[in-house]
Amino acid sequence: MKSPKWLKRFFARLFGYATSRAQEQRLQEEIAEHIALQTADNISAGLSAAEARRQANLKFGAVEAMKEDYRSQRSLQPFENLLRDLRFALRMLRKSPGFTIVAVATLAMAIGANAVVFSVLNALILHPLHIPQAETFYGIQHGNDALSYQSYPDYLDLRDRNRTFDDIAAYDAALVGLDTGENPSRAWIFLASGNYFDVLRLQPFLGRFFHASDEHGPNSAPYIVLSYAYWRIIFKAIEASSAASFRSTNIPSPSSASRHPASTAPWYSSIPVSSCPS
Amino acid sequence: MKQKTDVPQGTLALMVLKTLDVLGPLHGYGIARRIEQISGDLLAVNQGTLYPVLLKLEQEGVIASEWGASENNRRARFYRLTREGRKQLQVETQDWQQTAAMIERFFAAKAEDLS
Repeated sequence: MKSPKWLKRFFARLFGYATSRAQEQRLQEEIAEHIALQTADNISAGLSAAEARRQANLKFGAVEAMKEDYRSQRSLQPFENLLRDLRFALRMLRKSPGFTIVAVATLAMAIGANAVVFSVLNALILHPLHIPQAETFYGIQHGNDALSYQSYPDYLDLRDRNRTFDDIAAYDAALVGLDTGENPSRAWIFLASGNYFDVLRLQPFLGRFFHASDEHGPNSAPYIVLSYAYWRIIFKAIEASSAASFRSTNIPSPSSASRHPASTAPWYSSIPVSSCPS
Repeated sequence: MKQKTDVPQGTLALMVLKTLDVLGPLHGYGIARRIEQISGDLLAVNQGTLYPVLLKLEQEGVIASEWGASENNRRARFYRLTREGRKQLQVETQDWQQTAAMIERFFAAKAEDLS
């Protein structure tokens, strides 16, 4: 267990910082003793008491310069200076509260703005959607309102007259009750048009997705697709679960799980999306 | 009278170790006096400079110190070599002798030896 010398010195210095007063005392005593011994030797060599002391001091050299050197060896001088500077800074901040408030507010706003910009960058550029060619996907808005909804008939019109995009899918979020037989729970779901997964070019992890061909107008057979995360939580990834039927808003349906680890919301769809709010 | 020379950097520590090795536990003044005596007064140890060196050596663990009574019965700090210090002294003595021997050979070499 041989620790390197510099590490040993570092800990000794840390200790030296904590015990600086006792160490100062020790140095003081050592110097006094040194000069006393030298003086005694000088006296026995035949010098007068005053001259002996003078010679002893001369021989010892500049005491204060040596003490400075000693102190800088003893403890972590930069660390001590930093602490002193911090204390001074805090004192000055307390002395001028106006400046402090302005400075803190400026910093807070700058940091906040940076955090917002970064979180947007993070979502859009660093962690884009887990779909192939995510950069070719666009959301369609009405007017300048980012949260605007299209009505379902509008969607049908857009889809049928679309010459700009390969295809257009519709979805809406809704809160429903999900029941696997024992644990009824509330869950956020997406109601989606039949072509939803084809537009996103996604493949299911298990089972099958619904397609546009599954739509037969209002009240056609409903399908439900679970997100990967939700499937893991509820069914603990047991394969047999794909056969389990469960009830959702009174509609029993065969299930399939999609691999969408980023989302914990189950995908759910009744086809067609007859309940789209306008 | 010869001019007294300053102690070269780093050698003071080695001298301290050797002094403690030969004489056993010693206080600061004793160490300073011995170094002066052995060097035949050739070295002017600005005696105060010894103490930072002692502190550094103690922090490195090659010497240790404790309070004791000096000749005139006053409290004095006595320094002694630790086991690690003895080892380091051995290593540094070897290094020093190698260096000295090498320099000596260079000084002894004549032009015809090199051709």
